Amino acid sequence: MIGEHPATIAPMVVTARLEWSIVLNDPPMLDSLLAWVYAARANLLAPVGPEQTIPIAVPLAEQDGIRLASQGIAGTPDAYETRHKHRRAPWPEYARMGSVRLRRCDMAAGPDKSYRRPYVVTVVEGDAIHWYALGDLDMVRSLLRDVRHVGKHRGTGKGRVREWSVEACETWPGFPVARDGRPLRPLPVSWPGIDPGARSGFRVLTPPYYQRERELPCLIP
Amino acid sequence: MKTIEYKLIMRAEQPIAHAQESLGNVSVLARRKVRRPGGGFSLVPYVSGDAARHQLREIAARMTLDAIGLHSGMSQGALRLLFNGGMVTGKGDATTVNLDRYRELVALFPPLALLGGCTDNRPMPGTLEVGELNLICRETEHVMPAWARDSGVGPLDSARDHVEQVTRTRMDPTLVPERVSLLSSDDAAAIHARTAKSAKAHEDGDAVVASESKSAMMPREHECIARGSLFWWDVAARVYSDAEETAFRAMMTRAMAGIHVGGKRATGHGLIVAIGCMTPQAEASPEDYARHINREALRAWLTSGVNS
Repeated sequence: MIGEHPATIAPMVVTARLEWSIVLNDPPMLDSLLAWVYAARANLLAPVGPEQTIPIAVPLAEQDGIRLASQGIAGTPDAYETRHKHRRAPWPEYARMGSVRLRRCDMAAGPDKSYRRPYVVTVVEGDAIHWYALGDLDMVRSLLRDVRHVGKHRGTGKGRVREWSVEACETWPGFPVARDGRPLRPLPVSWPGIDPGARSGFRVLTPPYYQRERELPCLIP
Repeated sequence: MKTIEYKLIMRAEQPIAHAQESLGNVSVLARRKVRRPGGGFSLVPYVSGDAARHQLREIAARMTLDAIGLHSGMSQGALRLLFNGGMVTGKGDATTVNLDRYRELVALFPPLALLGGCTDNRPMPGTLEVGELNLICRETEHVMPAWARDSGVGPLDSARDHVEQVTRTRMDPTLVPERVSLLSSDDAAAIHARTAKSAKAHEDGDAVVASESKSAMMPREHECIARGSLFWWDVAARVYSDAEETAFRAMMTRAMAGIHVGGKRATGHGLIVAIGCMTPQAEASPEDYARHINREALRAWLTSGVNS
């Protein structure tokens, strides 16, 4: 186990002010960002499967194994753009620098398949994403300083965070994972206080959230 | 862990033809939406982070190959890993690497940790964050970071002023009589017959025959960002060892001297150089980087058959 548990517990609203647009399916989870910071500091590689996953403590309160933090709330997107990811087999390098056994390069199938894959870039409402959470404000604030990008395609400049703000906030019944009977993050189906008509689907409940083999039936935002 | 960040002002030493798509015979520049202060969006040309990041990958690959003096005889998998970051197969065969093998490869080829690569069945992210090259213009003035604004970039023009439209023509050699005279008599006769057919079709207004007999001459247009345009660019990396830090500094030292982005590089397009680094950094040469490489082990791996 790496990471740290919260020293104090307080309600907070976390805001990421984005410099530009972002690439995302669902807005990221706050506990995954915090866990990523501990993993990055320890130079851990991203686990490929559940058997390689190391539990990482984060300074957020927990209930029944669920971190008490909402999923990112990004509002209604103001604009979209379609961009493309290109991959082209390095065939000139194969020709010039490859071994004599290297005689052909199939760019239509197999390991050298080349593509132009579209993806959507979103300009989120007010260029900001919010999270509500229960945890240690100072520890969360300190950890988020290391998070420079959120969302996908971070390595090529998408989802750049201009500044983070972590402030104390008011609470409401169900804070911070539900509001007015609606879940604000994926929750187990037995979670109390959720409206019976809430949406349901299959989601992962703990980081890393990309491991879809760990998906369970959940109540979802 | 240490995060090193370069905040750079780059200047286009040549026109930049970084296209997004083609509409008919017109190649259109890549543009991005920039929110206007009063609402709505402007479309502003830019150079994608993907294009810039690939240049850093090429620099790392070529710097490594120069360091070990290897320029031929490499396996397909090795070249793919150096120049493309590897591949995803969905199975752990010999062309992919598992996590332990990935760590060994990072020790052999330190830029892999920065740029990322592929393991068993998924891409392994690198620690490099390459920003997009953002055009310094009136439309981006309000989103420009303070360090770029403070760099003394001077009075700003509109994004449209930075774009020029260029027309080029691919000539048809069969329209030049002295070249036709080089053909065999049969081929020359065929060319003359086609020219006569085309001329008659135009006189008769026969569009079908005119289309069938038209020459291969092709006028085309492309947009480019004008030479001298300025961009702000930030690149950061988390490094965990001296080898990774030296590799990153050597890559950036080389990139600041000039990278080529976009198309038409063979005809004087695409060169961008750094004219200022707002976060002064120690330089590193390829020789500094070479001192961190186990040449024999890397050479053996790049030429082995196990990864192809």
